[in-house]
Amino acid sequence: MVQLGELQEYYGAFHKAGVVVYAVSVDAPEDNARLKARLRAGYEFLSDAKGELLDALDIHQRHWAGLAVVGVRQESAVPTQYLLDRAGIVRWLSRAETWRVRPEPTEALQAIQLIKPCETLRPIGSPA
Amino acid sequence: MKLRSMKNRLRDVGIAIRYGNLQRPRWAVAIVGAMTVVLSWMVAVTLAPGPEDPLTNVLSWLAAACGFLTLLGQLPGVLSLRSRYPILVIVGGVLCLALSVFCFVRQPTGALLLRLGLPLFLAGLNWYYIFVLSVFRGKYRVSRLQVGDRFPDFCLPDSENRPVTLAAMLAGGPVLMVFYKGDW
Repeated sequence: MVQLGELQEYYGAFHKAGVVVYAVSVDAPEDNARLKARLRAGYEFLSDAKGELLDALDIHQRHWAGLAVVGVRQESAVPTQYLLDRAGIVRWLSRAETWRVRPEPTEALQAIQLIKPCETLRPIGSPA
Repeated sequence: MKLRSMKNRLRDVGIAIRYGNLQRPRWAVAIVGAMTVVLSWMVAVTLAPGPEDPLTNVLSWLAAACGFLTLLGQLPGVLSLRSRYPILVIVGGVLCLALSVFCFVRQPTGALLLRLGLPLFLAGLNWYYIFVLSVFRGKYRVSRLQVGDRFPDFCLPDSENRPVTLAAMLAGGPVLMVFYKGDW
């Protein structure tokens, strides 16, 4: 899970910028708990086991069941990143074209600059 | 697609070792299984007589090496994590197929099939992964949401099975939502 490991490498920078990071997949919460512990992740994981949010976003990928023999699950999320401002408006998004070509955390870091500095560049809890 | 610097690629390898799938028992079993197959193949091709024609002999070894080159380009997936067209897989696959066809036309024997069977299989498998399995193809869909749209509300359980809503997330500040394919 290099993509999430890489996200963890940059987590400090997101945290410092006051951005809350969530990783979302179809994995069950108990699987996410194991993965979070394994990665020693600072960010939180969300489980969309039924794929409802993925369907709403149209990033729900369904695969041929026979691929299970090579470890590919029947359902997955298309690797995508959304940066939301405090009002819940999408300010930046990035979509993968293939499973292999994953979004890079540094792109999201650059995108943070799109959000007004007064909204984000102050660590949460620090004096205004 | 931007090519990553060697420094970044080496960093990716470090991340893969520290956080990646290599820590999972399933992958250890897969690696040991693959090594067993390759070692068996090596023993078989060493014991079996090679093609009599020296040129076919040399080129068939070269074709076999190219087949394994695709594996080399694919095994550390991190090296091609952001490369849309991984060069080692593409070059290795083309050369393996071309040289194999040449050798089979020149001197078709069972020993040659034994020598080239596994490399051709590896090259085909890697090509399948790169160009069919991992590409979204016709199923590729554009995210319904665009920049400026409001993210739909939801309530999903976190890793401790506590329900989390979008409103609760946004109360903490701007949010980066990373959708990933799952922990396979």
